[in-house]
Amino acid sequence: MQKRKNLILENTKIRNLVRKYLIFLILIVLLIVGHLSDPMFITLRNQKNIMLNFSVPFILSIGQTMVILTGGIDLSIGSVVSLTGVTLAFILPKTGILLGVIIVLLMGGAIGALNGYIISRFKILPFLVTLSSMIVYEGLAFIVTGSVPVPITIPAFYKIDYGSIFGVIPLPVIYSAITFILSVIFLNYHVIGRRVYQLGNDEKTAKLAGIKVNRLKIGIYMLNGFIAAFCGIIVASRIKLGAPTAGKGFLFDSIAAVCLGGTSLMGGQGGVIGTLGGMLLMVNLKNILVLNDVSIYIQDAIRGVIILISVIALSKAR
Amino acid sequence: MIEVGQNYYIEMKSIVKRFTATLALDHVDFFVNKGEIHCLVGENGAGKSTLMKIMSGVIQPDEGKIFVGGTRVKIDHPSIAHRLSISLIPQELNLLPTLTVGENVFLGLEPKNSLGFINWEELHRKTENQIYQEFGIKINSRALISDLSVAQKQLVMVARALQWGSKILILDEPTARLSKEEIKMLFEIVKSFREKGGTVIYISHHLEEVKEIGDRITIFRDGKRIITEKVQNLSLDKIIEYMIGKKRTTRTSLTKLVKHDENSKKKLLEVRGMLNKKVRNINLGVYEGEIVALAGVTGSGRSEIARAICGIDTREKGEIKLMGKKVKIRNPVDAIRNGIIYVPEDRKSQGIFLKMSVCKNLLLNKKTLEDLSTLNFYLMRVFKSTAQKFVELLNIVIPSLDAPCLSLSGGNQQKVLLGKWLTTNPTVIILDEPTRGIDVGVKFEFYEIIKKLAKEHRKGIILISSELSEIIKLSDRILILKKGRIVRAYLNKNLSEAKLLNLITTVEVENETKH
Repeated sequence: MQKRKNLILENTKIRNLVRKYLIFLILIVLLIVGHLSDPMFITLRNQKNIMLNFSVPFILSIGQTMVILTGGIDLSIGSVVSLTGVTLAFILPKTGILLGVIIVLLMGGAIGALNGYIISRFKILPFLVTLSSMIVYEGLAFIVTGSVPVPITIPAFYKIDYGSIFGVIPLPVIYSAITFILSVIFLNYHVIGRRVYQLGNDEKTAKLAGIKVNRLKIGIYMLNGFIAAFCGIIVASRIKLGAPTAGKGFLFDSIAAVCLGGTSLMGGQGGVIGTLGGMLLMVNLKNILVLNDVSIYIQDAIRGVIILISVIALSKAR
Repeated sequence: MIEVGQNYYIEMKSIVKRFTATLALDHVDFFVNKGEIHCLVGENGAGKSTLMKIMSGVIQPDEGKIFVGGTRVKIDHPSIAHRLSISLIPQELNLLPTLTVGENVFLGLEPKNSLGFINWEELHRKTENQIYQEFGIKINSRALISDLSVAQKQLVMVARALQWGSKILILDEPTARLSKEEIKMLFEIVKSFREKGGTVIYISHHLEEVKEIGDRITIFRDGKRIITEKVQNLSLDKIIEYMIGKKRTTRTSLTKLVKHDENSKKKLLEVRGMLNKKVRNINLGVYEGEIVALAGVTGSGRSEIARAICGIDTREKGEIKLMGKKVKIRNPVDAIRNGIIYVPEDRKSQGIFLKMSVCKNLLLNKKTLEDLSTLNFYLMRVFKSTAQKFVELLNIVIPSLDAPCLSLSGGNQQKVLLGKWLTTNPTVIILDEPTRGIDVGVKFEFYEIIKKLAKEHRKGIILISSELSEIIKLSDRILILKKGRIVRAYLNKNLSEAKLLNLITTVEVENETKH
């Protein structure tokens, strides 16, 4: 009897492992396909390029994962990225780099906190609240710039994105690695991180257990806004502009990576390790299509189809 | 001045609770001793669950006082019950399914260091040790809740209640979905909780369980407390008598029963060897003009049989014959096309379109619309005359067919809902709790309608009900269910409510029964 029970547990363990990390199997297959289709694919230069394109969307998707784990969603992150860049372009000459960066980080956090406050105070669906704020902040970015990108002319600021460690590892990759490690520790070992899962599982039960649900929600959206602003800084430093369209496209990638990574849109299940796999898959796929000279329009269609197939395969495996 | 109660651990005095028109609790006194297993029994709607919801702060009483440990308390939120060490373990266990056992047990109380980092080792070790010491059961604290059986989940609930320092556990129908071995395990858990000084309030429909585990028993009927007594002082028959009341044990005859004669009638529906996860080897037949009742306690598989017949739940085995012909029913649409309709218990969520007219609401289903239309063109005239027929059949009081359902009384809306299903012209009608949530006047009208459908319109009806009086009044034949099996079949002759209650609560599952 005891033996049988242990066997069942072993089986569920294996099942859970497959459930969690299937995305990495798919990723390996993709890498092999990439290598076979073009030997350029696995070269240091190309991989460095991939990692550069990977880091900002990945940092954004880490924040998105946490929000989705609570059972919510944040559609406003792309707009926050744009607005951050635009704001920086205006204030940097007056404030200097350090103060400017701090101001925009606080702004991002405040935007997120406001989202969280409206969601928890008025019990409105996160989708609707953040959809509205997405439109508002994007609009705001257009208004202040008059839809013309504002150049940033402080060379020291470019180093936020362009610098590297040992001359090999670009700084954005370091940022994303640090964010990733911190988020894994936070979600798995810190009591507030666990609250995110508990809240996403069942809000009522969490409340009964004395968890301050509203405060937690505000905190997570604030953290996410903060992360979005951080990405906005990197992007502005890379394109050397405050552009109201700089954040376009990040939203879709972040949600797709979270879903591919196996995090349930209902909340409470999944995590950032899966999201890592999801985002790696998305970025490598894009790169392989580019290397193989696939037309940009067909690229999007193929990407959409492959994401759909992966999501179906993943949901079947669970 | 502080009001002080008597020597009981929990005292609920003169509790009154009204739900709009009905008096759910009528000046109920309820006393619980420290360290006892106190059973609560009563028919559905007798008030036991309402009282427990009040005790655990889910709802508030209109009148009455509550004392815990001699001090007057006001439990106006679940968190206050929590603070008073009262834990309600509902039928729908509120665990967090994607997390581990340990995390659920220590929810909100995780061992952590000053920076807020959780000590997982300690948490899991403590969980396993605690469960082993308290209940003698080994469980893997790292297993996910979603991988556990119902009994194991209940164990986790109890362990969590202990972790939260609960002294009073309220178990609401805990054995409804458990197997025999699991029930044994649960009883062990409950008993060891009592040995450690805990107090248990145990709600159950299974009287033999009550006899086995209870110290004292309180019996409810119609929102009133009838008696509180030591369990050993009451026989099963006596308990049933208290539950039902003497006055109602004599049968009320609403309409005279037509003699049931199997040979002279057409068999409308025949189910053979139906089997799935929830029902075991079901054989049943329904004849023309017959009302067959499925009787059993909650969780005995009443609705599950209906759902399997209609293809809502899948069948692993078994065939269904309609008027002697074998039919394929894979989903509810097939069932409706073949003339079997299932009117579910939860009619409200199935919806009536309040802003649309009575006429449109009645005819709004695919089959009716197809039947009434030519090449998908609808004639309003045909619609109206059909709708009028059903309005008359069901005796719906309406200003006009075009009046929006919004303007109807609740009872009449219920009739429209029933009518909506009837317009498909079914041969077999399965009614699941047809009168739940309906006020008394309309209830009797519904009884007349159900009778009329069977006796005048020659439909076959399967009636599912937890109200025994309803079953006795309406049905020709009664099938007793237990754990997804039909264990006995009776003609409804001289059967009293008491006898029926005795049957559904005590008859044991036998192997291989034929009907």
